[in-house]
Amino acid sequence: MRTKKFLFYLLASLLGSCVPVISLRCLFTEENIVFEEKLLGTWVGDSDDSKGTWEFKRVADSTEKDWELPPPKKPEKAYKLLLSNEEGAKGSFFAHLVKLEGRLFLDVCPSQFPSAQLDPKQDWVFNTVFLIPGHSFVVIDSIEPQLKLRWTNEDEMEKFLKEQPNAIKHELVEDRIVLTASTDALQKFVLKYADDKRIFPAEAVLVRKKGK
Amino acid sequence: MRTRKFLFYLLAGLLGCCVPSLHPLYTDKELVFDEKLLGSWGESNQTWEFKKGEKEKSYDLITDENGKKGEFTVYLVKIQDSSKADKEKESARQTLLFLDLYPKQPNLETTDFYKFHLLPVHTFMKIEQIEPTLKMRVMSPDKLGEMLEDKPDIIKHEVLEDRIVLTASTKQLQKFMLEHVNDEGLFAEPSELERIKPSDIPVDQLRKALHTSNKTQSQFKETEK
Repeated sequence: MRTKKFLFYLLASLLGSCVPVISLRCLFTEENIVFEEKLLGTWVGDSDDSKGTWEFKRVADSTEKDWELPPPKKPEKAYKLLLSNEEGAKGSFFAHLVKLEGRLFLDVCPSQFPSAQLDPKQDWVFNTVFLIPGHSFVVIDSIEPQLKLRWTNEDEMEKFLKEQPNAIKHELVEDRIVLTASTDALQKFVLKYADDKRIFPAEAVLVRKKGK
Repeated sequence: MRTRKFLFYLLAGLLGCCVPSLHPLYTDKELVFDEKLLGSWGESNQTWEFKKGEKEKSYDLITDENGKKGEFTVYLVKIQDSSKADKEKESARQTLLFLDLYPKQPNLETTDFYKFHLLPVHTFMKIEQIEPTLKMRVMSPDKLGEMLEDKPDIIKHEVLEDRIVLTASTKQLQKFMLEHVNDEGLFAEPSELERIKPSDIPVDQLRKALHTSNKTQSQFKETEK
């Protein structure tokens, strides 16, 4: 079993290490973005031993301003998402809630390059020139009382695309799938397959973190 | 033009003027290894250091500009026109040499999920010569953009915001290079790096290197002798 597959199955419950399918383009246009106040706050896995967290803030309210990738065009409708895994490692993202024909999706994209986020001295700054921040997509089945999410997974998508190579424009880059479709084509694709476990097989149920 | 200026153009080219590609320019068949590339190039505070990589025929490249570093896996790629007519005349075959640069992932503590969202891409530099100076050209995104406006099918690509990303296969990339390498302006003016002799490196820098690299230690000892 490949390492990434192992990681996926090991930690899929909190998505800390799942291997999402990456898209070069985002899932939204300005017309499709919505903002739900109730998504704000910190969410954790529903089992007692879960230590990873999902923390949503409104970009416009964020005082950190620590992103180095271009900030969202509509910061009042964008979330800053800080994901931390069970070991305490963190990843910083911009997230947009996208409403398509009444269904909710989340578009997630890094807000920083590793050089800024994890290497304050920016020792490895030149590496970042050769990194393209990708988008991944999540189906939101509910926000309250539980935040129910379903995620894409590369291995399942690979099997699907072998059967239906024309379902969505993509490139196979070594062992990774990279979606190269337009935003319009991506929207049609996620709507068509929103309930298809081949496309969104990874499930997570999060609850609001209690206390402070 | 002095080396410093050449170097400036080179780094500026990497930062702002590269055309990224999802796929590499090589298969195993096109890889060559040239010992002459090994060593440090540039000047004391702005260097490109090529070392033998772990994989066969690969190089490890560390670029360093006043402490700001980049670390890459690099391959030297030799592509030749293998059209039928040219096969008959070996000497007439067009031979091109490129560097394929691919970023290494610094060992930073973050989530795998975050790392998976950053897609490493390849960048190509045309090698004009290795000795006596390392002369390279980077592809001009502006010129490529003009060419694509005129003929969008000339090479498979996507435009993200205003950035061109090549999505062509390795075979298509090689064909494109062979057909268009000499198109005016596609590859920028050459950047030129001079070899840095160990004696050109300031002593404090060598001492610092002694603590970080066994390989460097052995080089230093050889220099002292």
